[in-house]
Amino acid sequence: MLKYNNLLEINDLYVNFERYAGKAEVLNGVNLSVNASEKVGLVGESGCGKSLTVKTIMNLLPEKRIEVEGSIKYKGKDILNLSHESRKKIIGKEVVMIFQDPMSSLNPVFKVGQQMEENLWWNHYLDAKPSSFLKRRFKKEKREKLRNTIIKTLNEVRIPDTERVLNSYPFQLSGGMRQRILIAMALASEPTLLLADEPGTALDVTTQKQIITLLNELVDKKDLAILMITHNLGLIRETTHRVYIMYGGNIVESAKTKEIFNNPLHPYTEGLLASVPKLTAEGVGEGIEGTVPNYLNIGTNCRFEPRCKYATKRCKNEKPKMFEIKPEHFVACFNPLERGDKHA
Amino acid sequence: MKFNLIENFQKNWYKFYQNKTSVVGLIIVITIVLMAIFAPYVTPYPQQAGVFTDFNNTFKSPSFNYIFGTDEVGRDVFTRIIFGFRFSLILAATVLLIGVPLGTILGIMAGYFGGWVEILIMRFTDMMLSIPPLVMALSISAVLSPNLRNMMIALAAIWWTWYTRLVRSIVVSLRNENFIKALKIMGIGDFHIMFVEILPNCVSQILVKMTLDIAFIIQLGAGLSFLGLGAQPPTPALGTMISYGTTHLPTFWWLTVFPALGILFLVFGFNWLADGLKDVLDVEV
Amino acid sequence: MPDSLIEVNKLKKYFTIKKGMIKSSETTVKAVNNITFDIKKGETFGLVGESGSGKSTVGNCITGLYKPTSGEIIYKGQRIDNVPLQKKNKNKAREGIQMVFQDPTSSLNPRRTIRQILKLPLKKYYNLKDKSEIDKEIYSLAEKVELTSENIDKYPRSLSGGQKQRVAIARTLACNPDFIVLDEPTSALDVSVQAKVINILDHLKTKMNLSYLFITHDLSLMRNIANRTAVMYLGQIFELADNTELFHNPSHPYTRTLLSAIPVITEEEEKIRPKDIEVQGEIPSASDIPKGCSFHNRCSKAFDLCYENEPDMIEISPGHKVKCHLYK
Repeated sequence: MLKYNNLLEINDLYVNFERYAGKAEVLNGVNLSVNASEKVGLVGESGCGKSLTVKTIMNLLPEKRIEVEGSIKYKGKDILNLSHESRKKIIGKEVVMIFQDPMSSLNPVFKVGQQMEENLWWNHYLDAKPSSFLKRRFKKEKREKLRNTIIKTLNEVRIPDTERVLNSYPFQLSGGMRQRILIAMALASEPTLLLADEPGTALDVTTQKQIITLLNELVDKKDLAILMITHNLGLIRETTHRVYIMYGGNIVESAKTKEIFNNPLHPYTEGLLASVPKLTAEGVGEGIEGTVPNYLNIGTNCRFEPRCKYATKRCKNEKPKMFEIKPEHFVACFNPLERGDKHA
Repeated sequence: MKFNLIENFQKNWYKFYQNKTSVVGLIIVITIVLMAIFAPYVTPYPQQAGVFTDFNNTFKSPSFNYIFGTDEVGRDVFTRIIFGFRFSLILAATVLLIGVPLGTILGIMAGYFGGWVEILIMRFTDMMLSIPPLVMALSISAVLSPNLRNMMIALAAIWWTWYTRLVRSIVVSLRNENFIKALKIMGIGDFHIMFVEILPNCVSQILVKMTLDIAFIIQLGAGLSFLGLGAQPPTPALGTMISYGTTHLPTFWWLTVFPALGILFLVFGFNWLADGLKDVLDVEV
Repeated sequence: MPDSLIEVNKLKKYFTIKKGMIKSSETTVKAVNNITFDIKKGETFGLVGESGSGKSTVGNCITGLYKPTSGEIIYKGQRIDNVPLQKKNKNKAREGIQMVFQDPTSSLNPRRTIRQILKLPLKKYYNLKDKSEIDKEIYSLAEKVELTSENIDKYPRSLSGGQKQRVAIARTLACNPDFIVLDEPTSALDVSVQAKVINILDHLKTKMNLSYLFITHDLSLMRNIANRTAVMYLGQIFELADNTELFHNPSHPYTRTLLSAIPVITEEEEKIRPKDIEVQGEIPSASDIPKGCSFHNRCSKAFDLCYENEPDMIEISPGHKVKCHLYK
């Protein structure tokens, strides 16, 4: 199997919303890439634009009053401007997403088995025509084959008692089970890239650990690439090789996971890491002053500047460009922490 | 704080303006309402609205002097339609003025207290809701004499039910919100919570429903008048005019067509306006 | 106990749920099942647990939102579990207890400005009549929670989660409290915002002589803010100790499981926590609590006694209590 460097490549992605009061320039030149079999993290707090980035990849944006510029390439081919048919072959099949909240990601009025069958079925039929619907209802051998695939995927996610689970409604299953089912559904089409949006956040700590361990195993076993989107830094540290830190619609820092934790260079990353409560009882730090930027009519500047302890005049007027400050460690800042005496 | 309102108004107008039909609806409603209020000044022959005869000008087809023609006793149809609007709007206003406060209060109490209070109120509401408005109006007209005032009573007697339902469901969705819990922990009494804190949250939906209801009530009123149960001649009511006009179709078509168009515009106007309001106030109907 | 502000004795809160329409069956959810602890004046008492542990229910019982099924809650020497929350004759026994909730959006009336939200308790508790006095007090409150004055005339929807939560805190301060129940106050906030809110709560505690009951599922957070902590599971307290003691010497298998499962971000943390305790199964539903020790079906150290008998609460060292058969 051909291994692509840059399986997923996002270049200079800009996403703007038109509102009464002006233009909300949310994504401000996002550059991101995921290589085959790589585990990459995208870290950011609420309002940073990470959900929007993922929605853009998965083509889940609202159509009205929205502008998208830049490119998103999968295996070298642009996927933003594809036709409906061509896009469906990639999004949902080769690039799959595991959504955030297992409680609400499954349809409560259908049995789990039925939902999984539907999910698998529509991977083969790209258009919802009446004839394909009828085919599904009545072709028995096809349904048998589907069932077997489904049971196989359920076993992979370690769901015991598959018959009972398939015949249950979502509300009859626990949160951990539902998350496993979502993972099974995502893996059923044998994807190459997995986008995991806050996996385990809605679950208890002990369940979360099981799910993350499972996810790690599956990703390793199937040689998948995974882009894990979360604000939970502990999760990032335990699962990813490389991580992007996002703030205000920009990637502000990116490096290997270990490097970022030991050596954060962007003031935001420093503030973020300091704010995470630790078992070593160092307190929670001072937090970061201020609030997430209002994207309306925001202008050209460093978007973190209003909250930055080390801000200088340049930061108010220019947007910092991402550069390689150390080997494989990128930062977008005019005053990164290693320079001069700004390091506290 | 004043800047808030003005700022909000511009923003809301922008939202409203997105939907062109709503703007048309607003224009229609404002025009008709103003015409109805200032009917004596706007119409060419205000004296012809009520009791009037001019046997020289009966059944005149639409012309420059009488834009919508004249009726069987020589009255200007246009004038009568405008005055007819007056009655329709008064009918709607009265029914809502009685029904909405009553329904809202019952709805808030049912939703907030729950338990047997809710059961009592809601089952009574269900009972009243199961009677179709037309049937109710017919029955009341049969018991009391058919006229405009009794029609108003009939409709108001059942109209509150929709508001009880609506408000109760809003209150039920709010009663477990944290801010209500916080108020209770502060020791704030139920009356304050219900009518000062919860009620403002219901206003948007009530307003939209009222706008839609105006259209609905006008249609009902016209229907009842058509059947002869509402306003009696010589009162200019749109339904009555249509009813009489149908006996003269198709020769004297203007006696039916223009009043019918009048109702059409009025109803469309309020419906479209309600649509726009819904978007601005962010209401799910 | 002399310096206890709040005493909770043998608290139980059961909910009965009726299911089914034709053949209706009743299940009892034992949300809180015989809890005893006390909170001292000036202390931050931490209550930690996962979902179904009953920690929020304990908070609700103390503030009066729920009436306990049995047991006592004593506040400043007076029983308050039998005092209803809103009473026309203004029963003042509960005054002084306030609460901050998890969801900041739901905590504020969307149709009220911040000014109006804060005005209400100020008028009630401080008896201020003069408009300028009230305004002065509102600005002072905003300052205490580090909320800038331009936000005061805004509606909650214009504020961020962190700002809304600060308004909620300001509102409790407007009621002149001495004890605040904080039910997961930062769980819905980003970590950088959480740090700010925690700092504000810390300052307020010293400045205004407050005591806190801090409820959360985040053990790392608890490590940094509580004086004493209790670990809850399915309605019971499994372990209770001084914070330092609890985290240096976690004794209950469940506590150790939790500590080994939470994601940490530094090597030092990895070194000091219990390692690789296998996490088995998922939390059972609170309507179907296992017999004997409720943790037995997931505990790697369970033995025959655990399946049959509920363990007693044993003091293994001064101030350190554990509910486990391993310690006898």
